[in-house]
Parts: sequence; C-alpha cells; structure tokens
Amino acid sequence: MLLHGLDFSLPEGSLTWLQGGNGTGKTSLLRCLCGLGEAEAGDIFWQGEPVARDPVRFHQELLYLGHKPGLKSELSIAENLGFFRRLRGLPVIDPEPVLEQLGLARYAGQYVGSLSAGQQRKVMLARLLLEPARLWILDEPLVALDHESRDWLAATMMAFREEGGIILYTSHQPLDQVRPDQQIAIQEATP
Amino acid sequence: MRLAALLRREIAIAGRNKAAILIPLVFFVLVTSLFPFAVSPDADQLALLAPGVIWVAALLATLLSLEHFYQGDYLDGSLEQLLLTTGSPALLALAKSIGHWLLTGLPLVLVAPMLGLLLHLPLDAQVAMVLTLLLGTPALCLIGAIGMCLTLGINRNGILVSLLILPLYIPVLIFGSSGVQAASLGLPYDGQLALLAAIFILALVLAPVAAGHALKISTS
Repeated sequence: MLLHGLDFSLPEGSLTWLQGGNGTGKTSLLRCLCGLGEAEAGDIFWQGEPVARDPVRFHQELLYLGHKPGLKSELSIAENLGFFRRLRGLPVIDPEPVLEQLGLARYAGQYVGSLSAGQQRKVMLARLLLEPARLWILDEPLVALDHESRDWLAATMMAFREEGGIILYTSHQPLDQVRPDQQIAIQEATP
Repeated sequence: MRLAALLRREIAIAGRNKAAILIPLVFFVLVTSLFPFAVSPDADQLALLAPGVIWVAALLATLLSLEHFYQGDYLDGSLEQLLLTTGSPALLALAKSIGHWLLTGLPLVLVAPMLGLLLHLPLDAQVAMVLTLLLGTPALCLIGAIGMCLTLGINRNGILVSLLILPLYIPVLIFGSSGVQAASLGLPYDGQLALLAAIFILALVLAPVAAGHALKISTS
C-alpha cells in the first residue's frame, strides 16, 4: 500500500501545498483525485457528492496539469490550446493575450515540437487562463520554469484563489510570493 | 461536438505527419504488387490468389498503422489530458478508431481496385473486394484499438498486440477474402457481406467500450 490514512478537504478560495520526498506517492495521490488512478478504498467528494456519481461534471470543473505537457508536437501552440477549449465545448478564442504574458506570443503559430522544454511547460500553463475551471491540480508546476514564469504562475495562482478557486499543487520548492493556506506532508512509513 | 473536435485533431496531426498515412499504404501496395513477380505473371493464377493476397496485405497494413495512432498520445501525456477533458474513455477510443480508419483504412479501400486490376481480378470480384474492405477495415481498426489500448504501457508492444488481436482478426479475414473469392467464381457473396456487417456492428458497439476500459487501465 502506497498511501493510507488520508483525510483532507480543500476549501473554496484556498491553496494547498502537497509536500513529500521523491517516491512518497504525491503524483499517485493527485492522479487518484483526478480519476486517472484508482484508490483501493475510500471516497473522493466534490461539493458534497461522491466524484464517482458524476465524474463528467467533476472533470468539467477540474484542470489537471501533470508531469508531461500533454501537447502535440505536430500542432502549433494556438492549435493545441484551441483544441482543449473545443474539447470542453467552448468556442476557440485568441490565446495571444495570455501568451503575451508568458512571452510566447510571437511563437503562437510555431509547432510545439520546435519549442524548448521550458517553453512547452509555459504553453501548458497558459491553459490555466484559457480553460475555466474551479479546481486546479498542478503536479510540479515549477519544473523547467524561469524566474519570470514563476512570478507569473504565483500571481496567477493568487488571483485564482481570490476568485474562489481551489488549488492543490506539489512542489519540492516553495513558491516565493505565495503563502499556502494549508500544507499536507506525506511521510514515508518507518519500517 | 467532442467527437468532431477529436477527429479534427487526429486529421490535423496526420496532415503534418504524412508518414503515418503513407507507410501503411505503401506497404499495402508493395506487398500486393510484388506477388506477380514472386508467384507467376499468369492472369488466371493471379486472379485466384488475389483475394487472399489483398486481404492479408490490408490486415497487416492496418496492424502496422495501429501503433502510431495510440503510442504518441500515451508518451507525450496527451492521452491522460484527453481522458480527463472528454470524460468518456469510450468516446475517446471511438474517435481514435474512426480517425485511424479515415486516415489509413479508407486509403487502402480506395487503392485496392488498382491492385485488383494488377492481379487480374474480374470486375464483379473488384466490386466485392471494395465492399468487403469497406465493412472489414473499420472492424479491423476497432478491434485493433482494444489490443493497442491494453498494451500502451509496454515497450515494444507490437508483437504482443499482434498476438492479442490476430485471433480476433481471423473471422474478418476469412469472410472478407471468401466473399471476393466467391464473386470471382460468379457465386453470390451476400452471406459473407452480411457476416462482415455483423462483425462491424458488433465491433462498433463493443470495441470502444472495451478499448476505453483498456485506456483507463493503461494510464492508471
């Protein structure tokens, strides 16, 4: 068993930092919460209802950004971002204002495959402002980001929290400007 | 709407990566066109072999193209994003199967009459060949999706996929080639077409659900 005895809630307008060493199960926990993994026991609730009862509604309100960017290298930045909006049943909008904030506006028409790992990471983060959601689950969002992008992410997370959004993120480093509302630490069991 | 968005994506990706469409098609044409050199240029002999040759080549070309349509999405993480955003693994599997057929199965059906001519297949048998391929190749794509989705997390899964799905491909191969054979002998082939249609409908209903479950298992 990887994790046990977990019981926590994520209040509206809150930011939760999930901490733990390598291999302690942070990613597995996040994937279980999203529905990508299955827990052997226990329930996950969203707004008082078990997620299993209406997973589609939960997924409409969730934005999960994992270790892999989930972008297609054969498509341009704008096409990738437009596709995710279309898949959520939303009209495609011009991503340029968001890409401008991330310093990617001039690459909007460029194939994702030609971008660096850090730039791909930024494209992934642009989804935070392009796809409306109430819950952000972010797995190591700081990886491969430069200072400016970290500041942008911190400001974006704080603004989302102000609007009542819920954020759960994992990171080995603290986000300098952001003070989490709660911290959950996963500890390795002693043999 | 989601299905349309997924299909648009598949077509856009394949449009940029033409090898995905061309490799199975070139394989199909090469394998079929080499037979007259290897066996005999005799028209009667070729016409006798043609149904089996074309159907085996179509089956192997479909198998060859399977990996490209699923493995890339798994490796770059877009598969888990698609699972979360669509909320329906079965819908995702169906969209990928339709995209797979449109981009690799349909071109085989369109090229097949040319290869039929090369192998001296009579006109009636050519019509039967197109009809059987039209019903059989989508069934091959749908069935193949189950095996591919089950083995996504395994490196070099090509042989395992073949072992898993080839037994399920056999009925399609038998009814497909025997339908063309019957037509080339001037016999009715409605029975074979009906059986292929039944397999296709069964695959259309059941395969996306099975492949969807397999996708969830592979990504968890």
